[in-house]
Amino acid sequence: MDTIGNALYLGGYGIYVWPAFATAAAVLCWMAVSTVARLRGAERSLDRLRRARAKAAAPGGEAAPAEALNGQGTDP
Amino acid sequence: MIHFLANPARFMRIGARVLPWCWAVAALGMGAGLWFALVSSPADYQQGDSVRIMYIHVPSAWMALAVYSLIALVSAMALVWKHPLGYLIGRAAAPLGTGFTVICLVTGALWGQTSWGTWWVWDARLTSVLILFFLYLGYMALASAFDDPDRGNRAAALLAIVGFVNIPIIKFSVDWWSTLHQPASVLRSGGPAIHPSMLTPLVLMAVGFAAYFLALLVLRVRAEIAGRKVAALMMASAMGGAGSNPARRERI
Repeated sequence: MDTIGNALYLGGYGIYVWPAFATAAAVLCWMAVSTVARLRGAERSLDRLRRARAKAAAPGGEAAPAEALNGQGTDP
Repeated sequence: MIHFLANPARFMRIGARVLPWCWAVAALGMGAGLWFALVSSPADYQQGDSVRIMYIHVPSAWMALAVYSLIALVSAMALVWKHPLGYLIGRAAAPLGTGFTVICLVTGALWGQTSWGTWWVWDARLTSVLILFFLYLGYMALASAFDDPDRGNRAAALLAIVGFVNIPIIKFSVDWWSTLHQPASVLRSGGPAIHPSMLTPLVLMAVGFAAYFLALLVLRVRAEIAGRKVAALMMASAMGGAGSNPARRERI
């Protein structure tokens, strides 16, 4: 326990060092999460549009590709 | 090489191949870097354990500068050679560069409080890095400010190129002006003035950060390309599809 206490205390600098590492971890995690969310959103929109176009191109197909997104398009 | 990579399909093929390696190097670099930074490396004889902040502050500062330089480079390529991939790489890299700048500024403030007794001072190094942060924000705002994405891309690219003047100012600010911030101790003529026990975690973390950035960049460029295809399909359907060639329109 004493070792853990010393590690957290870091000679009195723990209150500066640990928030610094926590900030870095949080920002790096945000980068990954926002990247994956953006990629999934874009690929999902693209799949939906392509399916709608294929359906519209098929005989008797009526779905309009623009409606397939329901306003969930991604920024180009 | 630059023209070879400017083809989006080729870039994505190569990106998919290097992606697992980037993740592996990022995990190894940051994992080993953290071990050395927090456990193995010694405390500084003057700064004590507060020196451990350096192992994330300095690599994030390097990345903030490198990513902005990359954005300026690909922006120039996109404007000169009309490589649309340049715009997409710039847009994909900007949020990541902003993230590294935030890490640099926050960890710098924490380190400043322990070393200088102040969170912030308006000296040349700190102020020029804050300007870099605003340049990133301006680039992203400008890129998304127009209904026509091509206009936004061109305007943001111009800002990135003009803003590049800030990069050498940041690098040499500690030499040109009298600042609280210490001068370069790794990337300097005459070699690093830092002990190997501290240089090792610094380099490991820097390599880890760079690989992490590259991995996320590949994924973000993939998202940008998918976004362009969505916009092209939406445009084609809005135009009623008369005489349209979807395959051609989907190509960026």
